[in-house]
This record gives sequence, C-alpha cells and structure tokens, in this order.
Amino acid sequence: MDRRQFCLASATVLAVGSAAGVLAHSQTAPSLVIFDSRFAAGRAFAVAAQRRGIATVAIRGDVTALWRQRLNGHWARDGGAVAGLSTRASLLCLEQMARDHWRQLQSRELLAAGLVSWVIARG
Amino acid sequence: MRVPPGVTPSTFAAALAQFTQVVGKEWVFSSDQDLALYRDAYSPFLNEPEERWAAAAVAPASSAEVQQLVRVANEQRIPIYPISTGRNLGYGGAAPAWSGSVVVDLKRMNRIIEVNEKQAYALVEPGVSYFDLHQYIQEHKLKVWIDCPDPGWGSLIGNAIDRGGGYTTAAHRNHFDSHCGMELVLPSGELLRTGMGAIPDSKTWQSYKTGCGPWVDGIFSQSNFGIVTKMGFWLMPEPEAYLRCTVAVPRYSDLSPLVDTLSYLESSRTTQGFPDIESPLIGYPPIGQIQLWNETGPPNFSEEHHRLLGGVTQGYSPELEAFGLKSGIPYWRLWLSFYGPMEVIEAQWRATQRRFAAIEGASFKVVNRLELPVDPATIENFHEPELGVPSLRIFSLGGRTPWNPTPSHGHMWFSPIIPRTGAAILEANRVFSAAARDLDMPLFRSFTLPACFWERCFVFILATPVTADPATNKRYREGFKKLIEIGGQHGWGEYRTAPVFQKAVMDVYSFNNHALQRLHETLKDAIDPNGIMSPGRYDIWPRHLRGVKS
Repeated sequence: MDRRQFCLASATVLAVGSAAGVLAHSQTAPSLVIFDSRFAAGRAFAVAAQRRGIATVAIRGDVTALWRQRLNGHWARDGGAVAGLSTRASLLCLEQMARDHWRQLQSRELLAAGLVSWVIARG
Repeated sequence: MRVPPGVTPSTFAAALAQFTQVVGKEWVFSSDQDLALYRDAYSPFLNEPEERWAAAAVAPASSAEVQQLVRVANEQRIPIYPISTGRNLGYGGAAPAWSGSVVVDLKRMNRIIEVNEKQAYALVEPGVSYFDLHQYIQEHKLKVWIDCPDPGWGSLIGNAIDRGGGYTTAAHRNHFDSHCGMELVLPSGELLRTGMGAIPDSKTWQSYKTGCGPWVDGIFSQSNFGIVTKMGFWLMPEPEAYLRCTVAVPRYSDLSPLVDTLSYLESSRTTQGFPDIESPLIGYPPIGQIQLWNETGPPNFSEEHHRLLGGVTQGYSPELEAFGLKSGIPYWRLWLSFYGPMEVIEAQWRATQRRFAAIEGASFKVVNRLELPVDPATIENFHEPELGVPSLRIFSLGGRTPWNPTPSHGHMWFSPIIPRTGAAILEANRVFSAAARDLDMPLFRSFTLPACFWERCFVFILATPVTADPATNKRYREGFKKLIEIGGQHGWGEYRTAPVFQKAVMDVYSFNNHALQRLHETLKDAIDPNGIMSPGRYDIWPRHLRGVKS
C-alpha cells in the first residue's frame, strides 16, 4: 500500500464513521445524500446512506447536472437537509448555490485525501 | 451585535427594527452564522482581522421595499451594500467594500419579467441567475440563447454591472454593452428608469438603449450611485448552426500577423465567436480547454520537447521553433467559432481562411460542425458557455486532481487590459514576468496568453492564489498591488477588481491629476450626499470618509 492508497483507505474508513454521525444526527437528518463516485470513500458514504433508506445521487466533481436536475428543485420544494461527501471544490459550489434557497453549511468534516463530508440545511 | 463604523449600537438597533418593518423579521439577518454567508469565500484576508464583514443583511422582495430600505438607511446614516447574488468570486464575492456595511441582498427579487423571443431580449430582476434564465427559456421552448460567464451561477444584472464577459458572439459577450435599459433606486430612495424606460408606458425600453439626452447607464456600473432593480438584456436568436475551427501557424513571429488578421476579421464581423489562442508548442491551453487539462492533464510531450521548453525565453528559442517545424507542432493555434445559418458561416469560414492563408504555413481545420439545436449530452462535450449553456464545471479547476494536488483556498483575479496586438502580448509577458519573478508572485512564470472577451483589446485573466498562510497572502496582496502599479506605468489597467485592490487600480486611472476620480466624487456628493451607498466601491468614497477610510 503506497501513501496515496493509505490516505484513500483512511478516508473510506472515516467516511463510514462520518456517515454514521451525519446521517443519524436528529436535527439535520438528510433526505438526500450526494457522493462523489470517483472515490471509494464517497461510494462507502452512499452505501451507508442507502442502508438508512436515504436517496443518493452520484457526482463526479462537477455539480452542474445535479443542480439542474435535482438540487434546485429539491430545495425549491423545501425538500430538507442534504448531506454529502465530495471534494472541497464541489462543496464550495453547493455551499454557494445553497444560498439561493437560504440554506447554509451546518457541519463539515475534513477527511483524508482532500475530501469532506458535510450537511447543508436551513439555519 | 456587529455595528457599522461610526454608528451607535442604539441607532443601529433602531435601523434594524425599521428594516424589519419593511421586509419582515425573516429577512433581516444579524447573527454571525447568517452573516458568514456574506463573507467573501475567496477573501485575500482569509481569517485575518481586515477581512470585510457585513454588520447585517436585509433581503427585500421588490423595488418598493428597496426604496423604503434606502430611505431608512439615509435617515439613520447606515452604510448599505447591494448585492445581486454575490457570486463574483475572485472579485470580492458578497462581502461589502466598507466593512460593517449592511448588505442589501437582492436575490429574492428573482422575477423574469419578460423574455421576448421575436425581439430577442429579456427583462429581469437582480436575483435571476444565468441558470434561472436558461431554464426558463428551455421550459418555454423559446428560440433564444443567453450569453453566460464561467461559472454560470451568477446574476445577469450583477455580472453586467460588474462588467463581466461571456463566450458567444461579440455582440453579446460584453454583458454591460448588451444590456438595454435599467430601473434603479437612487440613494434618495427615488425610482429611476433609464433609456426609453423614462417614458411612462414605454413600448421600446428593451429595444433602444439610449433614449434621448445624456445616457447615464454607465455611471451605475462598478459604482455606488444606485441599486439596479431591473435590467434588460439583448439575447441571441438561436443560431441554426455552429462551426468551431482552428487556424494553426508554425512560427513564433507568426503571432503578430495572426492577431492582426483576427482583429480585422472580428472588427469586420467576419468572425463573431469567442477567439481563443493557444500555443501547442509552448503547452499553453485555450481557455475553452483549461478545465479539461486540469481534469486529465496536459498533452504528453516527448522528452526532447520537455527539454527544449526548459530553455525558452519569452516562450521562444530557435531550437524549440525548429523542433515544432520538424514535428508539425504549431507555435500558435487560434480557435474560432461561427454562429448562424450554415451557408453563411461556411462562407465566413472560407473568407477567414483566405485572410489567414497570407501567413506562410498556416493550416486550417473544422473541429466541429453542428446543426442546432443539439441535445444536452452533446453539449457536455463542449465548453458549455460557448453554446450559451451555464455550467459550474470550471470549478474542477479548484478541485484536487492528480494534476492539481494542492488546490488553493481561492484566488484573486489579476486582469489587465492590453492592446490587441502580438507585440503587446510579448511586451506584457516581458514586463509582468520580470516583475512577478522579483516579487516572487506565482503569475507569468511561463509564457502567458491573454483572452479575447472583448473586441479591440486583450485581457489577461490570471489567478493569484489565496492560501491558508496569512504571511503568504500578505505578500501576494502587496505583490498584486505592485503589479497593478507596474501595469499602469506601461499604460495598462485592470478592467475589474476586488474591493481590496480597488484603490490601487483606480490610482492608475490618474490622467490630469485624477480628474476621473474627482468627477466620481463630485457625482457621489450630488447623488448620495449622506454617503450611504456602497462606500468605497471602486474607491469612490463619500465626503465624510475621504481621508479616514481604511
């Protein structure tokens, strides 16, 4: 195992732990989970969400299609909190776009390999 | 509770109570958690005391509410700072120019008032984003295109009054130039319509720009003289077809005739699309492919090519040029786009090739030939904004990839305008690369090509990173100001900048002992005597803050 593999494996373990914390949090229980499917940690996060019966949507860095096809409508319908595991760049986009619907970042946990788990909801 | 500078807590509390009466409790924000939304995500003062914060924010839903808020601000002498959606990251974001101002957040004003397909215009409010208008056009199956910047999350009005640019035709890329008619609230609270909109029940507000008498629209862009609450924009009729072509030339010295020919063709409207210059030999990408390079890496160069690149000065060495000639790798490649009926744009492309054929060794290629419209899956294979489609994909530039292992915490755009000549590209590289080396700035470290957002000139759009280290950020801020000053010494100036650099930039516009700034201040004193509106924006300060500002 090289350093990069080690970091990614660590991120996966953290992602599962992070998901357990994020998804079980009573005040911000998400109704939708976004995950970056390029990363094992993202896929692990999604599996943890699916086990809890939460809808998941995959991205691969770019969030344009997610915004157009899902998220804009989800927040416009007051569709509840959204959690995810992504790169910081993807989160920056989502954090900015969330402001259009008066949502903001409620929690954020930095994981290894530049990934981050997060929850966006009404303040 | 945060309080604006020079305002007592009791006065501010009274003002917030009055703001609440206007918009309702739900739309007045004063907690730190809420105000964090108005921080500049790319602030060059990241986590430093000088970072600009709002003292509060208030979100009106109509022009009438904006008028009432402005009247309260005038009565209580509260500095206010309007934003549309606050997405101009790299140029200041949502944070006020004068720390402690109250942000007037206009994103609840998000009505698309009209899209006229036959006349190809739209009338919108400040909270309407490029995504919103594009979606509206798609849902209503209207045969018009928008022109959007990269990314497309911002407000049409915000981007236009910040004088942003896009990627389709020259007639639409300049977003301020493509507007037609404004409604705005003056610092007095009075409502004003410009151009033909000054005629009650005007039938041509979005059809004729200037009306009669002085055309005042320009003074409401990059300024602090009013809050724009409606704005008209000319749209592009959906083109029948699209051609994307390249012109490649083999030699370093071909840059000047390449640019001169482009200028002729663009000024004569033989070509209309966004011209994009790259150097395959130097390894400098076209803007339309930067995100692709970031995601998948630059082209694989041979070992010999890599070695030769190490020996270039100003992007040139005779050995590299010889290698390019031998290997068939062009020094420069120009990407051109054409929009319109196929028979027309094919003819324009033929005329374009005829002109460029005067450059020895020029070669031509049609890269894409599309009958429009095309399906979304096809558009994803393009730089979407060049097909009038908003996207967030540019943010892959900030993402961690094998080609970008240490993404920054944001950036400040260094964006000087230079003449539209090959000689100016070389001169700007010489001047700025020497300065950047002296200042240890991460710009112009290798040969750099400018962009063609606007006709008749070039603009460099270069990101200076924001880091997690305050000392590094301080050094970059000082270096950035020095680069602005050096640009000014050579007759070049920024087209737009973040609040932290607005004084440095406007200091360059100093002809006749800063006559322009004195006019701005004369206007400020006349239009906004209490100095409540966006104090300091583009270094226009109200009388009571001149000399005491930070």
